[in-house]
Amino acid sequence: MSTDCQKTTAKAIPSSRRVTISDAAHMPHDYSTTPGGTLFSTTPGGTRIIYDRKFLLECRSSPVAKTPPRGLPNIPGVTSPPSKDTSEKTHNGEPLNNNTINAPGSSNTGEDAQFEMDI
Amino acid sequence: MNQLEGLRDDQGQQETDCHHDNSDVTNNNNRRKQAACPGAGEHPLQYNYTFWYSRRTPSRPASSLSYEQNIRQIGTVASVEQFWKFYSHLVRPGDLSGHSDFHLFKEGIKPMWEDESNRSGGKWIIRLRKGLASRFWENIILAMLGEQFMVGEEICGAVVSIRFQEDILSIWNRTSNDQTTTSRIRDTLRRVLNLPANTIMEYKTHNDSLRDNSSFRNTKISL
Repeated sequence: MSTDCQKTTAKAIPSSRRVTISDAAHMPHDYSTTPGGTLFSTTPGGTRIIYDRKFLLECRSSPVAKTPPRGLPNIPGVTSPPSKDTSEKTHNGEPLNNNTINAPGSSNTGEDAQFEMDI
Repeated sequence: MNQLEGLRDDQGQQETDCHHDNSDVTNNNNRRKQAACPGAGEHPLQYNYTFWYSRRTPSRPASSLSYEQNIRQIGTVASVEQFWKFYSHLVRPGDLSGHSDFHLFKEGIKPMWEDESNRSGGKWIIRLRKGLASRFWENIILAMLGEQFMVGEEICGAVVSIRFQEDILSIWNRTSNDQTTTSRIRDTLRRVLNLPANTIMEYKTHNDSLRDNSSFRNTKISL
């Protein structure tokens, strides 16, 4: 990773995160994951940043993740440029302009439980 | 608010590879050299990744030079949130028209056989009937970004290829003859994509692709 960038705030890398589980049903089904998404773990070869699918999908709804990226090229049929009236604060609760090309199913993709498909 | 800034202005060159200078070879719009960093409060990724897009008219023969001119960078991400920013503003692969591909590769690795990181490598291929590409693409890249493959530095990137009657998912790794790595990638794919037990998976070295100038023909079948 590039070391040229400067961060404005220094934050210690969290070494652990407390996730309270009150119900055995909340335990993840995959043996190699931890509740809430494995943040940092030591694996052969050193500490790696690991996230499970569920955790990544949960991050999608954060306001930071929804604002349009800077420098998104405009490729018709491929990229969806942001609209002008997107407010950074998004306190009006309006969904970010998302291209209509994205099928409504895109929000369902995260919710569906994994099931076997005939491919 | 600083928190919302994903990319930062940076005068310096990108630190990763200098073997392939983008400046005059490709026609993509990557003139700005900004280093991608996780913003404050964002969740960093183990590696930075770059989104690419390519498209070609099937009738036009593919050559290395024309391929390099037909791929373009969309953006580089360093955090989970930055990934979603870009991903949410891209069409889903199932909605792409024509002979198109999305590539998500580690920063500094071009999605080309000839790239230094790919010279000794190969890829697993899964063929999908129409209608499945969007969902499988999302799942494979989430697994890659989340370091689910557990093969050290071996993963180079993933590709979703939209073709006429089928779509193809690929995952590229550095060392094609490292059987431990390729087996582990195959097993992880089965798990994260929830593949039916009888799914055919194919592996092809990039050298073989260079030799027959084809991405998806003459693969080694793995059951």
